[in-house]
Amino acid sequence: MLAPILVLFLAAYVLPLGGLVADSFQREGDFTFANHTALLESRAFRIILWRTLTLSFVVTLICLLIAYPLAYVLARLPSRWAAGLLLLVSVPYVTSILIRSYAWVVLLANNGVVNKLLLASGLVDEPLKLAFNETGTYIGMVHVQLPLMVFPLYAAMHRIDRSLLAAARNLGSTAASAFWHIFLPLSLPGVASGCTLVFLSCLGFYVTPALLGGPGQYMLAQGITVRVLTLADFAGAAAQATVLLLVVVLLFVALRRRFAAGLGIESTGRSGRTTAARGLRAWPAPLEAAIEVLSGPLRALGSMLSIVGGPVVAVLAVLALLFLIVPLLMVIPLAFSDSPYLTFPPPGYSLRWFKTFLANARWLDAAGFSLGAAGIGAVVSLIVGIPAAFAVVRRPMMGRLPLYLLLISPLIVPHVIVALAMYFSMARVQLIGTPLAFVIAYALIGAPYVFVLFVAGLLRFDRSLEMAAANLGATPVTVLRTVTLPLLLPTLAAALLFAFIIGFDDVVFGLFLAGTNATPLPIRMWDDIRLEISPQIAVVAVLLFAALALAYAAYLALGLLGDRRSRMPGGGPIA
Amino acid sequence: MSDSNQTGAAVAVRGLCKSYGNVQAVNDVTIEIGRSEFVALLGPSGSGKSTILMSIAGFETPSKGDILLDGRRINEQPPHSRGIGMVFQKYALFPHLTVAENIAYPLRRRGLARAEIARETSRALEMVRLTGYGARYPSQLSGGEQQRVALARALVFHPPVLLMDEPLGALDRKLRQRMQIEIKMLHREIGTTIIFVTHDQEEALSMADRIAVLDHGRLQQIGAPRELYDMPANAFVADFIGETNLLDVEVVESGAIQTTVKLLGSAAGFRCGPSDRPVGRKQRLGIRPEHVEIVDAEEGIGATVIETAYGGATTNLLLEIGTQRLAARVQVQRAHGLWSVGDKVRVRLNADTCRLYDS
Ligand SMILES: Nc1ncnc2c1ncn2[C@@H]1O[C@H](COP(=O)(O)OP(=O)(O)OP(=O)(O)O)[C@@H](O)[C@H]1O
Ligand SMILES: [Mg+2]
Repeated sequence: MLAPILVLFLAAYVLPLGGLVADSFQREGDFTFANHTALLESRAFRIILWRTLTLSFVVTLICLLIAYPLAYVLARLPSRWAAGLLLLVSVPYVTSILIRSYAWVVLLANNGVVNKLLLASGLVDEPLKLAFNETGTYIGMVHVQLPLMVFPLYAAMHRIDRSLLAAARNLGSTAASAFWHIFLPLSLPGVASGCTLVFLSCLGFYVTPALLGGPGQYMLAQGITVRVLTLADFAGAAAQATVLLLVVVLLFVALRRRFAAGLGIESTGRSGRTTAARGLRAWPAPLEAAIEVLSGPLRALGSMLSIVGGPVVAVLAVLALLFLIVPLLMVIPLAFSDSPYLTFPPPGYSLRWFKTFLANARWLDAAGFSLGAAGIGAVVSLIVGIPAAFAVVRRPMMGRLPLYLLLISPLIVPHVIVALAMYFSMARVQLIGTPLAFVIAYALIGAPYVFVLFVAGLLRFDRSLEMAAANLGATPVTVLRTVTLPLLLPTLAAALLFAFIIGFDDVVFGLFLAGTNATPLPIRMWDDIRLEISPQIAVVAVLLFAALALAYAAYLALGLLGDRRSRMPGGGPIA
Repeated sequence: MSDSNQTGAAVAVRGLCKSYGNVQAVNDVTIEIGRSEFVALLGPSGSGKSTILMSIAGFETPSKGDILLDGRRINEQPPHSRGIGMVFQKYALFPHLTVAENIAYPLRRRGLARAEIARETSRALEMVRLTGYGARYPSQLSGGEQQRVALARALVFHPPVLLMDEPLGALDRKLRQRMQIEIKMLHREIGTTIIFVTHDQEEALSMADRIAVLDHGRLQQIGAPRELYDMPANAFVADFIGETNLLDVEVVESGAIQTTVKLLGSAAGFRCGPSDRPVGRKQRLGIRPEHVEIVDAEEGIGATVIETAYGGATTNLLLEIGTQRLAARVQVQRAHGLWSVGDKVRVRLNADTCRLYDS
């Protein structure tokens, strides 16, 4: 059951990455450290590395400060409401990163919406420089990463038993002190998870800094890309990628227990401990210290939250939600603009940009290519990911933990590194610029999503249902067909959706692997955004939103099919 | 189902051992169960009851020993072809299927014709008094209704043996008692062999023909409820089935007619039935509270009342003799004048009701 995923990982991931690291130790065929020493001696590289680390850290901190009140409010809402708002939070997460960055360009550019408002209100005399510099990068990155922070925070806070707070109040705590001594410590595991995710994800970020950042203010991922695609300095790029890979792998290994928490291995035998204690024990000492530092501002915030009370927190939460959603909404009217230029609000409305889109074979070809490659890639990732999840959850085996970590690692290792490694290894077999290259790449980045979702689904699965089926006369295959798979239908739907979106939205692999016969839609958009900012992208965005809404409706329908038991009208209580 | 001419099958568990790593979950257990018998597996948590049941159903492979169905060894037979019915602890109803579909599930696996499936299904629903509930989903049923659906599903294909793993554990007391009676009546009606796991001794006593008492993976005793109650094989069974006082005593004299023991921590002596235990051996003397007699005369042994509890038709007393405590349950009409804490009373233990156990 593990063979398919191992073949995929070996061919498209492990061996290429190994080759990349090996390449970084080569110069004219000899083994050498020269590439690395050159790198470390290069002032430019040190600046880039430092910029990448500090930017990732600061973005993580800002995300935490914005997400905490939002998650706090969401966790207090009735779960029906919270689910709806979480859906809103997730919209940006599944929206193409290009579109999100484009939206911020529209908002932040010198003649953008924000500056227009500021000028009109007389608050400033000349436009503020909000985009194409560090400010732009920060704003864009925070927007992109915020959902990654909200979800784990919400999950942790949602689990906190509110009666603990009531008990603390009852025992004489003030509201502030109850928050401070009870709620905050219990929410720390969520803080830790969110910070880890956001920080690691920031390290390898490419699109947002490239579009919203200033010229020359590279982060590592851009540095690597430029080195290969512009300067053709392969050894240098390999060395840079190796350094970034090393940083990520070290963090990954240090935090392996936190990542493996999803496997449920750690939870056995510790059931008596509180979530907070369990979460914190998974942290190595230096990170615990870091969390301590991080929680400084949090504590201040927390005291404020509980002293000033509900209204302020609610306002902060609403602002955070608006920050997430409004930029995306701005894009929609732009698509119907009748102006050849990007002006907001549009001077008039028409369908001219839809017409140019539909009349342009290059756009249509790219869209068709992306649909096909991402679709096939998603199906392949289901085919390899599902059996792997079954094997890891249900087969007794040696080395389950390392295997699990390997299979989820593409979620953490920056795509730019994997893309570069694929670029080198696929060049050797002349796959660059072919549809097959994209299917392989999309299957590889989709498979971890499928795997993780199914591991979670299977761990939640009540095995006695399968035993009952067998006891009632079902052969193992029939058990799978009549019980296991029907009940995992919602998981299947989610896995398919995620695997598809991750491929469909990809820019980085496109940059490395595209050719004349294989140009995915995001690369078309990328070129378009870089050449001229026109309302054309807004049209694509609107079409993508519509597609996303359709996909989501399909997901809900599929989920409903497998889940009708809990949605039947007048459902009675479950014993 | 009532017209089913199928009677139960005999089940034998012989020398069953099952270990997980170094945990010995079941240790050399042998139980022979006759056709249409109702046997309860009773024991504290972790005593190996579920493991035995799972071995019979085929979900655990024995480390050692055999499982026999009507004399045929079925160790290697996969669960789906054993044809043994089972009710799971939390019912394991398929949430994505309706009640009727749940009940039809085993029939469809056996390739029955559509019409026959419909007929059998509605008959099974009738049997558990759930006619009209067929179109509902399990989540739309109460706990007791879910329990009955599970029962119908396990019985609809006329299995010769029905296994039940704490099937009433999730129900409230009233409902549990009603279901106990319903299951007993059903058993009499259809004659399936039933093996019923529980850790509730009252449930086992009131339902089963025979009870197998387990502790730490070992069979402690198997027998009819009366037998276990009146003649427990060891202190564990005595304590587990009903209530028992276990007093620390030392053998003073033993023989073919009677054994005399001395209560440790006091000068009091008691007589028990015949035994060959050597003089000086430490023993535990077991006596049930209802067998402790309070007497007026000078004949008994002096004790002090340290707690009393009103129990309707009986009064419960906690007595102290020397350093040891003794619970007594006394019929109220004989309790002329109620005792209060601190009263001195005299007690007598009838030799027939005292049993000695190795400590
Ligand atoms: N899969 C397993 N792996 C390891 N140990 C197990 C496993 N299943 C059972 N055990 C151990 O075997 C022993 C017997 O377990 P079993 O489930 O049979 O007990 P039980 O009598 O059914 O208890 P309960 O009343 O709690 O259900 C226990 O100590 C349990 O921890
Ligand atoms: Mg059990």
